[in-house]
Amino acid sequence: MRNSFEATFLDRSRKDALMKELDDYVATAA
Amino acid sequence: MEQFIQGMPKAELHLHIEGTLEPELMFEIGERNGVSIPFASVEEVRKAYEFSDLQSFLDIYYAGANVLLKEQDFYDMTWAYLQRVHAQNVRHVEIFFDPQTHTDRGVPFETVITGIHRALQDAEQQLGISNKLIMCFLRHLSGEAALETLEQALPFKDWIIGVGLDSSEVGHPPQKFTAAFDRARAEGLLTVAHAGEEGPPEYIWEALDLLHAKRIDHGVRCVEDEKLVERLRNEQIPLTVCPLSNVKLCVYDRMADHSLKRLLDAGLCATVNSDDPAYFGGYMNENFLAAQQGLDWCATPSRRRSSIGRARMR
Repeated sequence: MRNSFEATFLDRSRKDALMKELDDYVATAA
Repeated sequence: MEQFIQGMPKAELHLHIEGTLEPELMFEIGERNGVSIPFASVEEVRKAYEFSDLQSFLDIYYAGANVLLKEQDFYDMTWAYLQRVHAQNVRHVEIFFDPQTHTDRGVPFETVITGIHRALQDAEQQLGISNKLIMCFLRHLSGEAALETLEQALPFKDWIIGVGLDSSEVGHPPQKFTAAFDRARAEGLLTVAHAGEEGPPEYIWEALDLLHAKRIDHGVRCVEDEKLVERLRNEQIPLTVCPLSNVKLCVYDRMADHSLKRLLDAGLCATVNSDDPAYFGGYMNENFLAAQQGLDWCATPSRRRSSIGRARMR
């Protein structure tokens, strides 16, 4: 869930890396 | 669907580490520390996990925490949680700990935080789980006690990202802790707060305006106040929602009544978390699955606005 990664207290680059990981996963599963 | 949820990369933002103490580990630690538990067996403990409200849960929660005395106990509890969520593909955690639950029993603050911190470090290195640690004040105690706890924490400030507020909500509004939160922010710490779980929407306003909370923990009762929903949406203030917890503690009678999907469809930054998983029947995957089944929530993007995979801020 993208919201969860966006809502973290991580820096922008780590957030983006985790969200890309999620997006890739969802795209593969779709 | 279960397979999709299992493999999905996740972040957990609302997790009380003391709420991960499974009965088996509670007995193991109690035995090695010579602390008796008011239950005869693991099965008896689990049978006691039928709660009528937040307070009925907290009474058992604090009894269970009594077994935790040594740094290794806090390490073992934290490490057990991290191993579990690693198996659920949780990639990042921001966890709460309640030092007053332990310091009020005579356990030094340093013992508590060192055990937790060491497990978090090991998880980052060995399991690849990044993390942040948030220190919560117990709201049924005084604002002065919160300030004293903050002073104890300052030598370990580098290990803590922020402070939060938990325990019995009703009758203990955020305003009681304005001084402690002001002091924490002056020290460079971020702030979050439990609000709007059992307490009214006014507590969420106070958490935002008086405590300057960057996230609201639970916050599900915001739906009772249209102006509040509008503000949460406009400022994209995250809500750390805990579906199984809310049903277990009777905030909602059944999952189908839960507001999570309505919050997401309204454009709020709601997230899914487990709260106290040892007590509420599930960790991250179980929360996602229960929400998906109870709310008829789709997995991947569709014409519906929200989906489990891509639920996102606007």
